[in-house]
Amino acid sequence: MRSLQKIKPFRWGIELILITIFQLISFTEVMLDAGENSSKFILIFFVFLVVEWAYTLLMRISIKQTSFELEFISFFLSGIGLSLVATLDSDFLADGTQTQASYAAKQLLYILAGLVCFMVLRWVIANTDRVAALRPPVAVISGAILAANIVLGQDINGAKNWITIGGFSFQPSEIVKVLFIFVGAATLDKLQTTRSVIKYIIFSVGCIGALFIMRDFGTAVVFFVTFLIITFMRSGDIRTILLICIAALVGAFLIIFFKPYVAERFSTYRHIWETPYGEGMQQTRVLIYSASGGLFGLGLGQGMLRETFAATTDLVFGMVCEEYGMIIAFAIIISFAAIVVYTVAGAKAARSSFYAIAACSAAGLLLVQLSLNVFGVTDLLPLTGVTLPFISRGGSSMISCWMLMAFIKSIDPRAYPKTLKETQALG
Amino acid sequence: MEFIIEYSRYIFPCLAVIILLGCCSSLFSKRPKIKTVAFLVNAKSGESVPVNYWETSIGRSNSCDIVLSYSTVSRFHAVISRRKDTWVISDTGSKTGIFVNGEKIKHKSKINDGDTIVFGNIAYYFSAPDFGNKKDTVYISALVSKHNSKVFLLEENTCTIGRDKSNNIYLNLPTVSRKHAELTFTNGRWVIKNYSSNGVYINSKLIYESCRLSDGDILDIGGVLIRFDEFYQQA
Repeated sequence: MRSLQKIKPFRWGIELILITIFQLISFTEVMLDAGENSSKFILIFFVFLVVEWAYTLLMRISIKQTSFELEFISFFLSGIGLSLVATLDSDFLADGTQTQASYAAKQLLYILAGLVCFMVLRWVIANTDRVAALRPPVAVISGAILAANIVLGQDINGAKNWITIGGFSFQPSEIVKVLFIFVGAATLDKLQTTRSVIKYIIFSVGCIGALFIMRDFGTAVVFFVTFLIITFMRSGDIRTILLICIAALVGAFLIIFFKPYVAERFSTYRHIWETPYGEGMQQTRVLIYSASGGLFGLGLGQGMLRETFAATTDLVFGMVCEEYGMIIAFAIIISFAAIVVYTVAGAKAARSSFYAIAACSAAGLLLVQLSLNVFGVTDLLPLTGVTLPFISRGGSSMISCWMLMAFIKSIDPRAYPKTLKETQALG
Repeated sequence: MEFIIEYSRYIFPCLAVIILLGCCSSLFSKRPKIKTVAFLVNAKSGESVPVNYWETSIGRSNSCDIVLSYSTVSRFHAVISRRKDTWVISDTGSKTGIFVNGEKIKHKSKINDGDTIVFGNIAYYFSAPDFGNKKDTVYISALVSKHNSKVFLLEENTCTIGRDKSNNIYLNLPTVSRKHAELTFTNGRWVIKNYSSNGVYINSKLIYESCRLSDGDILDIGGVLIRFDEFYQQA
C-alpha cells in the first residue's frame, strides 16, 4: 500500500550532514588559525552544531516536519557568519586585546535567540485568529519602540538608532521590521471588509518618518520597499503604488533641499577612489580585497579586510569574498534570490492571505537588505550601513532575520504535515 | 595548517554549491499542488463549485476566487475560511447578507458539511465531507476509470495495462495492445512506460517512451480514459 509518507521527502539528513561537514572544516580552520587559543572556541562551535541537529530532530520527531530547506539555509549562513566573527576574536586573542572569544560567544547567543524567536513566531502565526487579535497591540508597540528609540537612542556612526540597556546595545528598528510586516499583513476576510489601506499608510508614514528622524536611511529604504510590497498585495492597485512613489520622490527632494547634510552623507558615492584613505576607505578596501580572494578565497583568517573598520558587520560581504571566495559569495546571493522566487510562486498555495502577504514582504525585505549591503560595499549604491542577513555580526539583525524566515516558512503547507494530508484527501 | 587551508579552499565552494542547490531545488520541486478542500453545490442546478483555498472569496467581482454573476450578489460578498477544526463564513459587507440554514449571520458564522448557504437569493450546499475525521485515513495511489469510476489501487510497485489477461489491468479492446503500458514506482514517483506502437496519451499529449505521472493526469490507453490519483483516499 502506497501511503503518503512513502512519497520521497526532502533529503534533510544528507543536507544536514553536508552542512555539518562544511561547518566542521570552517571551524577547524578557525581553530588552527587561533593556535594556542583554539580551546576557547571548542565549546562555542560544539554548541552551534548541537543546536542545529537538535532543532532538526526535534521538529522531525515532534511534528513530523520534512521540509527544512529554509532553516538549513539560515543555519548555513549563520555558520559562515559565526566562523568569520570567530576569526576576528582569534586576531584579538593573539594580540592580547581580548582574553575570551567574546564576539563569537555573543554571536552564538544571538543565533540561539533568533532560533527561539523563529519557533515562537511560527507558533503565534499558526493561528490566524490569534494574529488578528494581536495586530492592534503590535502596531501600538511598534510605534512605542520607535518613539523610545528617538528619545533614548544613541548616535553611532551618524545614525541615532541604537539603545543600550545593561551593557547590551541593540537596534530597535530591526525588531520593528518584523512587527511592521505583522501589522501590515491581514487575512482575506479582513482585507475585503476594510478595503482601504489608509490606516496602514498612516502607520507606515509614522514608522518611516521616525527612521528619517534617526537618520537611519538604509533601514528607511528597506521599510519603504516592504511597505510598497504590502500595500500592493493588500490593494492590488498599481495607481496607489505610483502615487506613493511620486510622493516619496518629492519628499526625498524636499529633504535634500531643506536638510543638505543628508545629501552630504552620500557624497562619497561613485567617488570612492578620490579618497581611498579617507571616506572611500571601506569600499575601496572591499573591492581590492574581494578581488584578491579570487574564486576560491584565501582561507579563513588569512584575509586583510578584517583590519578595516566594520569588517564583520557592514563589510562582511567583502570578507566572505576574500576568505571564502567569490563562488560562495555569489551562491549566497543566488540563494536569497531563489527564496524570493519560491515565495512569490508558492504564495498561491498559502493557507491564508496573511501568510502570502507576510512571506512575500519578508522575502522582499531580505532581498532589498542584501542588495543594499552588497551593492553598497561595492559602490554600486550609496553605503547605508545595513547588515548582510544572517552573516553580519550583531544580535538585533540576527534575531529579525530568523523571525522573517518564520513568515516565509508559513506559506509552506509541508510545515504543517497533519493538515497537508487533509488538504490532499479531496484532490 | 597550510595543507588544510589549501584543500579546504576548493572543498568549500563545492560543498556550498551542493548545499544551497539542494535546498533551493527542493524548495521548488517538492511544492505541493493546490487541491480542492471543499465544494459549494448549487441547490437548484446541482452544479459543483470547488473551493481550492483555505481562504476563498466569493462575490460578483472578477477578482474573487468564486465569481457569482448575479445582480443580488455583492461585488465582495463573503469569505469562506478554514480554521484548525472548523469552517467559518464571513460577511464582507454584502448588501443582501448571508443566510446559513435560514438564519442571517451578523458578521461571522461557523459552517458544517451539508449546511445551506444563501448569497443574495442563490442557495448553495456546503460540502466538506471528510473534514475533521482523518484518523483512519490511508492514502494510496490509484487509477480511476473516467468511464465508470471503477478504482484500481496501485498496491504493488508495478502495474501492467493491456489486452492480454495476464496484465494487472485488463482492457479487452482492439485498440489496446497486448501489453500496452506499464506503471512503475521509482524514486518516490510513478512512471508510465509505453509498450504499444499506438503510444499512450498523457493529458492529450502522445508519448512513446516513459513519462513521470503527476496527480490528476488523464491517461488515454487505446481510447480508454483513466485518471491517475496519486493520493487516493481509502478509509
